[in-house]
Amino acid sequence: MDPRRFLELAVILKGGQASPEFYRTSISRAYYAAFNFGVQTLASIGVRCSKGPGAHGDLTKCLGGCGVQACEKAGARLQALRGRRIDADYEMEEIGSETRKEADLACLEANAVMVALGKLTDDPTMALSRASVKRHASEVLRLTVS
Amino acid sequence: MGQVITAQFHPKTELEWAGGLNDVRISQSSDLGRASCVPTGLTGTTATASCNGAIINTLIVSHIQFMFDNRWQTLSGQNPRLAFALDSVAIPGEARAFCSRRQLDYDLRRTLGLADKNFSIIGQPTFRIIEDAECDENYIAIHVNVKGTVEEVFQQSETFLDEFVTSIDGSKRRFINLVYHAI
Repeated sequence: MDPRRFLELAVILKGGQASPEFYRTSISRAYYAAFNFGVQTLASIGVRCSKGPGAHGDLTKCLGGCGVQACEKAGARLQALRGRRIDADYEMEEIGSETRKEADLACLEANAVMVALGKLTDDPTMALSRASVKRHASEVLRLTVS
Repeated sequence: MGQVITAQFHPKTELEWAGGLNDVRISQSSDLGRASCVPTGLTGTTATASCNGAIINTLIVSHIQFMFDNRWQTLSGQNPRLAFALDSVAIPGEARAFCSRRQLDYDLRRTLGLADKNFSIIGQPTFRIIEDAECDENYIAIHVNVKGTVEEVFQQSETFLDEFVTSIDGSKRRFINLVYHAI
């Protein structure tokens, strides 16, 4: 499945019933859209993240330390979105997640991450950036790189 | 003559203080000029700093200024932005301990300074230590409430993140997560 469909669902959810469960689920879907898109992006350039939960850390570490500013920024934004999603999924006492504005921000963040990472695969001028990401994944994080 | 501050210089101490402060200049009777003095702490009227090449432990300075928001600003309780950066952010003990263990004190202050500079923050930041089982890592989450529309706040996050990724090393950044909320 194209993970961008999770973002489409997140947008539908936040525009639906104005209730905590809709906003929280929207935030969560927005994160998973960006997360899965990121994992797919890395795979498309030859970097394989761990199977299972470890992929969350692999992705943020790979983006965050690669030395490519656009990717590092996307990684930092993904980390912020992840923080938002953890509150939405697990912190039932934190009612800050239960607003339309939070869901709106989550969707904007997810979209920004995907736009930035999309350039990594689509933009022919990003060859050096791709090489930096792969080098960091291989030499520092010891991920499988082809 | 401005505020009298006792400054202690430890020439070979690593830089510890940031809080959005990029530089400091110190005026006093002998000529230290504008050596690269960087404050490492502040308690009341006692500033601790490192100063390249200065073999001085204690001296009285006539006033102390910080480069903040691209201009020199005199340290003063009357300056609310500096007050935010220097004094008014109450960092709970658990967060302080976490930062100390990870050697993040400088980076946390720097992050708070960048947040203050780029976001229209309302109230005080709050801090939580997150034990992230999925990533098998702990990190400090800083939550700030920001005044503005969603679009305005998102735009502010763009400039914050641009500076965040260029100011804080990646090895430290992964332990600091600033989450902003549009109010």
